[in-house]
Amino acid sequence: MDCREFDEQVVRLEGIEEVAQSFVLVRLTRIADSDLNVFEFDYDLTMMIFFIDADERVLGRYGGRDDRGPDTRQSLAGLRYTMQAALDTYHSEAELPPRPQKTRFARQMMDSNGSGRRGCIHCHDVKEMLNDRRARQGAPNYAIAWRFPLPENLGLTLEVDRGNVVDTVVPGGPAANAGLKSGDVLESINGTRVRSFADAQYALDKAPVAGQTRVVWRRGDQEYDAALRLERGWRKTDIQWRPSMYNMVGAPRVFGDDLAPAEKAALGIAEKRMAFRQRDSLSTQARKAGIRPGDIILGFNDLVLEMDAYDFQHYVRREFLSGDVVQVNLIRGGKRIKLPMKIQ
Amino acid sequence: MIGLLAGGLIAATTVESSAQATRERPNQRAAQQGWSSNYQEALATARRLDKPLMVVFRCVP
Repeated sequence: MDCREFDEQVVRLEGIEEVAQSFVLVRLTRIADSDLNVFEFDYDLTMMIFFIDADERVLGRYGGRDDRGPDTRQSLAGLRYTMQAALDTYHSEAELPPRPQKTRFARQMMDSNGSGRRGCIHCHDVKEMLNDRRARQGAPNYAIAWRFPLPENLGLTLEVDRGNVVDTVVPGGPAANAGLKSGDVLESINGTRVRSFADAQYALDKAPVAGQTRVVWRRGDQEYDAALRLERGWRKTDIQWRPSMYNMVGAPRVFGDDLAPAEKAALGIAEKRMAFRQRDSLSTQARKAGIRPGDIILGFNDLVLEMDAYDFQHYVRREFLSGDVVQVNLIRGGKRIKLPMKIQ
Repeated sequence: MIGLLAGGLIAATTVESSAQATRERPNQRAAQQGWSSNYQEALATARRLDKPLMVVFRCVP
């Protein structure tokens, strides 16, 4: 199923018709005149669902994706689950976060930055405008790139059909260390109510770049509360699918053919370790760094990588941003050397 | 040459019409299914009926 099919199923209310009767249904295909302070989401997405009350207070969110595709995190059952949770919240005495006092409209941003654009604004255009603004304000690349982190970054996955139920927990990860187990039901992260994957991503987006954040969950009748430890770099997520960030994805700038096992053995390189011979054609960045055709590239920043030259291309695009300076580890004439190179 | 240009223009128009049709089909179906595309009106309806709103943002690529 792709996102278009899911959208059409939602439009037809397939499997959600009964619970949908309790909502006023709105479908917007233009974002220019929506208040981005109320509808704050990952604007690289092509579909996002909000549940709000008539005072524009958010009851919940549904949507989200990862690098594997636009529809890996959503299902009609999952949507129905979140709709019911939003409805329960609406009819409960739960305190809701107030509607933001200030407004911010994409159309105003377009006018104020002098783009002169009119008509259709895609959601990723909004993201690009916000990114430009943050960059002009001095935000570093990583603060712009690593938005809406995945729960996996903290060592847990959530069920697709019940978006706040913990599916798996990685032993030794931050979630496991906080005490979370498979089957636990998340209540909140960082003070934000969680009833879906989209809620979790939104909550994590507001969490600090390092330190800790509070997580509350239920296991049976018992409620638990703990601090999730956030190591520096925890927000890092694959951005290659994001239309707004094509120019921020790092490219390796070195490429070539894998060494045969016998060649590796002769150079004292472990069989599984990546090692490739730089091809004759050099990128500008590689040439500036002093890399030469025939150099044996072992990787960046002294990291021992067990992959091939092809996977290295993907690895760099996932792990580095354009503008990062790396130390290229290589062998030339039998000698191991390091050369600094700017990734662009 | 003129024939080629005309052919290209027709092809481009057809592609654009097809893209527009793709965008419009779900919109038309949504309206038939009771989805509103008027946000302010929907807010007023929600207040009057004491119902929450389900707001779908669909950015057709």
